[in-house]
Amino acid sequence: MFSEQNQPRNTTGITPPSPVSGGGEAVLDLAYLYEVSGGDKAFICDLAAEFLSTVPELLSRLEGALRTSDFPTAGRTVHNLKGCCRSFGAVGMSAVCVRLEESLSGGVLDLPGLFEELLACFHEVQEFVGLNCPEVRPSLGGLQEDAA
Amino acid sequence: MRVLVVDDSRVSARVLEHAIRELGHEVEVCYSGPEAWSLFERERFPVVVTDWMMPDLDGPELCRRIRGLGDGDFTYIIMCTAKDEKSDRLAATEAGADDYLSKPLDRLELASRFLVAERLLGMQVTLAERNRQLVEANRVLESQKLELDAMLRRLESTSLIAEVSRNRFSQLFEGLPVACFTIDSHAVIFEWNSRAEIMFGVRSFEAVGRPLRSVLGSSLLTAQRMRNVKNVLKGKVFHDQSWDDGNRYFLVSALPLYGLESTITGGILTVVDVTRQQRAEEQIARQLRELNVAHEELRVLNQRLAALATTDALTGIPNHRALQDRLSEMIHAADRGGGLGLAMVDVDHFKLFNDEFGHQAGDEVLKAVASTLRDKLRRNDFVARYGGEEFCILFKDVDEAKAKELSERLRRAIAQLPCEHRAITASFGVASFGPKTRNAAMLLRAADEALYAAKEQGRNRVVAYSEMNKADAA
Repeated sequence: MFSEQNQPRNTTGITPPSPVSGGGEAVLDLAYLYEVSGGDKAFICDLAAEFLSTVPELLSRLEGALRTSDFPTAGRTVHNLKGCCRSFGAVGMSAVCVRLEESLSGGVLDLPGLFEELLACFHEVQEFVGLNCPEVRPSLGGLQEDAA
Repeated sequence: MRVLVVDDSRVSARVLEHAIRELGHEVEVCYSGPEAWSLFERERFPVVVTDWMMPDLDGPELCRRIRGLGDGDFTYIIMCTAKDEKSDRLAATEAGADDYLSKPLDRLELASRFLVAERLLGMQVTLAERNRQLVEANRVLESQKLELDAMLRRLESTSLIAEVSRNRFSQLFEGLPVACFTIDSHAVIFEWNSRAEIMFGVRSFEAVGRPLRSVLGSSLLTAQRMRNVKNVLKGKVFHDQSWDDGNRYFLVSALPLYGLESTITGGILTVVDVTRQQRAEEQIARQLRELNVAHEELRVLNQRLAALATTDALTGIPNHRALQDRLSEMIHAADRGGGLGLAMVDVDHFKLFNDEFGHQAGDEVLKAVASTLRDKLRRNDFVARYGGEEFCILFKDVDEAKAKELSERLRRAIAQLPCEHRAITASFGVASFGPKTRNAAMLLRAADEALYAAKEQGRNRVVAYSEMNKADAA
């Protein structure tokens, strides 16, 4: 679940997330979040809220682009999504984004599967945020409903 | 530092903003390229941290625009992106980025980049200050260069003037019609013109560099003259001093030559050969002396001639001509109030004496009578040989009576003259200046008439003109 390397002392009070089925990567890089926030849980929660409000729109745009085979848009969106995930420490999502980018540039056709995997990772992030930042209300918007 | 964060991802922007604030900097966040460019145009940020991929205006384009401003303000640009390829780093650098950060953000790397940014910006400030100082120094140098150029032009102009002056001096020096030479402060010849070559028979290359005395010689440049030359080197001028070497004669003038700061650096001497003039003057002086001697001789001769003209050659007393002059003067004097008596004297029987004893004896009688009359006269009276054996006496400031008295004394003196042959006597006719005898002719005639009367009355006597008239009346 967590990357065992350079795992910092958890002083944020954030409960470690559960492992992601199938992928094997951690959901969030808590060491990174600790490092980038300076141990400020409030900032992490603010960041989580920002993340949860930003990502659904990007996922929706990506889904539309994949559906219409608009690969340039899909590529730019995946890149943005990857940057967003990396900035939040959502290592699971960013790893899927990397594979998606590679697939888009390399012509791999299992894009829908990867997108599903990306959604699953996002749900895990939502779950994690919901557990650790009760003031943040995870919402998947239209995608959550689609995914459900 | 004020930092501009540009990222279309609010998550990434928040992370960056938070981390940069933690480093102690002020942060302004823009969520798009155009928004960032618009802000940057209004306000320069020393540090920009920008995402790469953004719609409308991406990170590299923003870099290029910032670099394209070229207004001298340096901005440290960090490209922060999820692009991982090394080629991406190169592309970012080519676009104008100074550094590159990968997402996810590493705060230590960010801190490291900001340290670099601070150092570079500090250097940039230092460089800007240095540049300002260089610009100022350059301005000063430009100003000094202008002054130097002006000085150079003045110097060139001065050099030209100096060259022209040197040429003029050289032409003047060489063209002077007199010998001219300059000496240094040790009286060593420095310049020697062509007239000096001719005058002293010494060529310029032989004279220059030698002591003045060794060239002119000690017979010309004596010790005293050498002192005069040395005084010139102390500022004492002399003009037209006469120098000679026993053979030739010169007029020498000298004045000091001044160098910078009015110090005497030497002297200049001019020499005019006046030997010819000197010889001519000597000849003229000699001729003048001879002329004076001749003139004196002539004067004596003239004096003698004049004396001869008014002196009776036989008796040595004034002659008739001298009598006329003196009589005229004394009548004028008498006319102004003084008296005048006149006596005509005739040696008695002189013709018989001559016939009997010879002319030589007669001449001796005349000489003796003349001497007696001259010696017995008063100081202001006058006697002259009137002609033959007649004499005429002028008595100054007397009336007729006094004239007669004086005549009587003279008559007696003559009568007492010793003579081996026979006694010598003389008759006197006296007259005086008066209304009827107011001029020479009248006076002489009156005296002559009185003399005639004296002869008539028996000779050896004195007859006054007035008495003669009384006698006639009686």
